[in-house]
Amino acid sequence: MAFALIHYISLISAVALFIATAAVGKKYASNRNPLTLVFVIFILLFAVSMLLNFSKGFFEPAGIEDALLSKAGLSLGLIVTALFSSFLLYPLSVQYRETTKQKIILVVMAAMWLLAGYAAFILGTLEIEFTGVVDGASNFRMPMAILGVIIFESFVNIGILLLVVLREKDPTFRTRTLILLVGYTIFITAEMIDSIAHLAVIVPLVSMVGLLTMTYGILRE
Amino acid sequence: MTEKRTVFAYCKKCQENIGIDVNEGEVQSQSSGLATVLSIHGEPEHGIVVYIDKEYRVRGIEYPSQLRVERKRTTIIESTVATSFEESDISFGTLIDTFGDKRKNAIRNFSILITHVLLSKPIYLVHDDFSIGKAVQGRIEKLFSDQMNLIDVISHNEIANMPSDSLVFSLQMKKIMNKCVDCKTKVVEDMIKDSLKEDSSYFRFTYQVSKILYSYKKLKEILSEIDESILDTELSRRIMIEVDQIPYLLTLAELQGFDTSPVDYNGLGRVARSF
Ligand SMILES: [Zn+2]
Repeated sequence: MAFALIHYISLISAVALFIATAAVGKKYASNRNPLTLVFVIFILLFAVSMLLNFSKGFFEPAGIEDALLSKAGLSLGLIVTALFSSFLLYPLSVQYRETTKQKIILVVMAAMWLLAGYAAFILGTLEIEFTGVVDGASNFRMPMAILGVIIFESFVNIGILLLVVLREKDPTFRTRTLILLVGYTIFITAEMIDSIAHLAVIVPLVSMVGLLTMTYGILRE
Repeated sequence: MTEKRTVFAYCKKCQENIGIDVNEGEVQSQSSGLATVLSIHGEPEHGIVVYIDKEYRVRGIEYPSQLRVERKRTTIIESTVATSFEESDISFGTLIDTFGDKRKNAIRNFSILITHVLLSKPIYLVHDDFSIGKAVQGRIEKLFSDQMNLIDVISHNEIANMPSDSLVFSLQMKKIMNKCVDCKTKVVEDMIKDSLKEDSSYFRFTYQVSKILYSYKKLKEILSEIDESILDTELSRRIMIEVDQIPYLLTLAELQGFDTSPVDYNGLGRVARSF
C-alpha cells in the first residue's frame, strides 16, 4: 500500500466523473438519443480510467501490478479519445449525408479507431520501463507512438469542440460546451506535460482541475 | 434557491404553448407535491390554472370560466386541495393494449394511428360490436381534446369498401388492415412509453399530443413562409420541441407536400445538445 496525494487526486476526479455519468445517464433515460448514450459511455470510461489510477495506490509503485494498471489505463485512454472523436464527428457525417464530405468524415472516424488500435497493439507488446517514482507515482518511458496518437486525436477533438462553440447561437449550450472544451483542454495539456516531463504532483492537480471543470460544464443546467 | 424556470403549458383557448415563469423555491416547497399556478395572458385576457409537480412537469390544466382578470400576473397559490389527477374511466395502458397482443406491438400500432391523425387521414376502427368500437373511438378523440373528427367505426364486412387513403384497424384482430402512411414513428412511441410511466398517463399523453399538434402547426406555418435556409436547432427553438423530434415532424410535412429542403441539419448543434 502506497497511497499518496496523487492517488486521492485521481479518486476525486473519478467521483466527479461518475456524478457526471449519472447526470448524463439520467438525460439518456428521458431522451434515448444514441449520441447521448455515446457520451455516457465516454464519460464513464473516463471515470473508470481515473479509478484505475487511484487503485495504483494499493500496490508498490513500479511493481508488476503498477505496470498492468498503467497499461490498462493507457488503453482506456486510447479508447476514450477515439470514442470522443466519433461522438463529435458522427453528427457531422449525418449533416453531410449523401455528399463527398460525408465519406471524408467517415474515413477520418475510421482512421481515428485504426490509429487507436495501432497504438493499443504497440502497448500490448510493450514492456513498461519505469524510470522512477515522483511524489508517490511511478513514471515510465512513454512510447512516442502511443503518446503521439493520444495527443493528435485529442487536438482534433478540441478543434471540433471549438467549432461547436463558435457556431452555437444559443447561449446556454454555448457556455456548457465552452466549459467542457476548457476543462478537456486543461486536462489534455496537463497529461501531455506529465508524460513528457514527469513533473511533480502539481501537474495531476491541474489535470484534476480540468476534469472538475468538464464535470461542472456537464452538470450545469 | 430562487432560480426562475419556464414551464410550458398548452392553453386550449390560445391554441398555444404558454410559457409560465415559476420560482424553483416556491415549487419545491409545496407540501401537496403540486404547485398551483395561475397564468393570466392572451387577448382578450383569460386565465388558466396549471398544476406543476416538483419535476416541473405539468400535471393538470384547468380553464376556470368565472375568472375576473384584474391585472396581468402569474402567481403561485398555495394549494390546499392536494390535487391528484385521477385516470379517466379507463387507464391509458388499457387503451394502448387494445391495439396489440403485446405491449410493444400495441405501442407501434397506436403510434401509426397517431401519425395518421396528425396527417388528417381518415381512420376506421373495425369491430362487429359497434358499441365497443364507439367506446374506443371516444377515448382516442378525448386524447385530442375532441378537436378532430377523423375516426369512424365499421364492421368487418365493410373493410373492402374503405378508401385506400386511410387507416383501417381491426380492434378484434388487433391488426392493421390498411395504412396509407409508412414512416418511422419512434418519436410517438417514446411519447407513449414516457406517458405510461406516469401516474396520470392518460392526461400526460393528452398534453404531449396537444404539444405536438401545436408544434406541427407552427412548423407548417414556418415552412410555408420561409425563403431562406434555417437550422433545425433554430427551428426546434421556434416551434418549442426537442431537436430529436424534428425529423419526424419534417417527414410528416413532406408527406403533406411541404418543401423541407430549407431546413438544414445542424450536426455541431447536435453535439452541444446531446450531453
Ligand atoms: Zn390562453
